Amino acid sequence: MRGQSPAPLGVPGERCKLITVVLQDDGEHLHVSLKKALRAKKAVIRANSTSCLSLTVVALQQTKPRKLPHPTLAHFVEILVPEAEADDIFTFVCDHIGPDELGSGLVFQQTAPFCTPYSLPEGVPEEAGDDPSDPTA
Amino acid sequence: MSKITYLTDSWLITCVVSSATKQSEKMLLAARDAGAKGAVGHYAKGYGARERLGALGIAVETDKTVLTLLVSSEQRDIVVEAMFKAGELDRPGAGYIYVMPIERLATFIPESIMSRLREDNRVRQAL
Repeated sequence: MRGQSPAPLGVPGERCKLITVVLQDDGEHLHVSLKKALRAKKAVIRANSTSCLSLTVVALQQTKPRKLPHPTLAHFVEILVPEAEADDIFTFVCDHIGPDELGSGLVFQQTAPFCTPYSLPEGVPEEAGDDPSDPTA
Repeated sequence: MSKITYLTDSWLITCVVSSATKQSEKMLLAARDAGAKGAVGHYAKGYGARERLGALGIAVETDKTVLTLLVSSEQRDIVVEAMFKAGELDRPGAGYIYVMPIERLATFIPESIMSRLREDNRVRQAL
């Protein structure tokens, strides 16, 4: 497959970037507000999140010999965006979560050589409390 | 808009191993000893050859732990080798590791590390 296009014949798609965010679960549900803000302000609908356990900075924590520190609850958010919009959205995500502060989380970006398009059905009303124009809802 | 500092010389190590043993804990300890600074883990279900081993053709679900670590390029091979040996991944069915490049990474970077990275020209700043 080396050197060949990753696009399967007959399947629509485009080159994208995968932006991954790891957020500490501090009770503020930042992963929810991030996804809502992405949809409301950047029209991003290819985003999902899952809960995970985080062993942050394991090398800096004091532990008993041959023991790991207690993990903390975290959220793993994956955002798929077109390549041309990746820089803008990466900056937007960083501004939203502030990853340059200790314990706030991290953001990283990878190339996704082939991604199929995704759209939502039209005419479906928003669920209660899920207005995309209001990221704080 | 805030100033963002991001690293451009990072690698993502992903490891899929069985949750039934303390294999993932051994691998994380080995990764820490090799210099890894953090890890994220979540559970997953594995499907594959073991599906055919169930009695009467009933699929056997195998619980897996997925470990995700971010390391610098000079740590990459050391951490992967340490995790591979600690997890005994040369045994059939023990699990696997894959490594992927990261285009850029934004996170908290202590000033002591930041100054060293600037000297090595491995940090870009964007407004």
